[in-house]
Amino acid sequence: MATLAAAGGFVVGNAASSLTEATIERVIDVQSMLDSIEDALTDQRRELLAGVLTPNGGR
Amino acid sequence: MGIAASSITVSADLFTVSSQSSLICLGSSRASRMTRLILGSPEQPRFDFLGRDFRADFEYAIGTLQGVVIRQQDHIELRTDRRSIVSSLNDPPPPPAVKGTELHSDLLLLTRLPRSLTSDTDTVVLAGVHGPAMRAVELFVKTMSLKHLREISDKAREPRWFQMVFRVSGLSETDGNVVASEIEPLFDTFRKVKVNPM
Repeated sequence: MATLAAAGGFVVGNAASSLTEATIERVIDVQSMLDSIEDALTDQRRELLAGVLTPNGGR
Repeated sequence: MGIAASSITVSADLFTVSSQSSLICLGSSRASRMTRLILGSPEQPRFDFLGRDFRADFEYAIGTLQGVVIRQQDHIELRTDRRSIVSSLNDPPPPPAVKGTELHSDLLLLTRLPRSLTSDTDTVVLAGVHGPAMRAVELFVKTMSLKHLREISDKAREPRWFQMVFRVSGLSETDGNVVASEIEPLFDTFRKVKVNPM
């Protein structure tokens, strides 16, 4: 999601409609997972993902 | 490029995000309010969206089929309607494979629309038909081949606003959830989104 955020500015997940403690815990779990994804990405993959998601580079 | 994941904030109201920013929304048309706003609900899919300064017409949304799907999600047996991608032109991709009530493949729908024409920002929605496709966004970001990513990136230069479907497969149960191991772009589902300024 960090890369998605880099490509597109803001990322909105399922937590948008109702926030519960369980939902927030889940977001935190997801954040840990996304940290590991971020570490695994190459610059080339980031560039291509940005092209697929937001051609103007996000704002 | 790179924003630390620790910068992610949780907001109760997505509409507080400025229209000067692009949005990437992860969520099905069942769970995500933003996805539902654009694609409608599975019971009432829609194929057009009125933005603040444009109207967009597109071909794909997510709808219900006859039957049910039963799968594990967060260690709970989840029973849902069977769903698939539906087409306004009656030309949908093949639905997720189901044997009995067990899901064997799933579909992920990528939709890129303007957020605001005047601020040159986009809304990107990644919507899984069922849970496994939603989780497969991880595969989309992390493991999809660079060749496929490059092909999609090249196609998405023109038209700028488009939809495309991805099939996810290799489903298995891991730690109380059904997860996919493979994601494949269905290039023949690439569709231009028609955008008219208003």
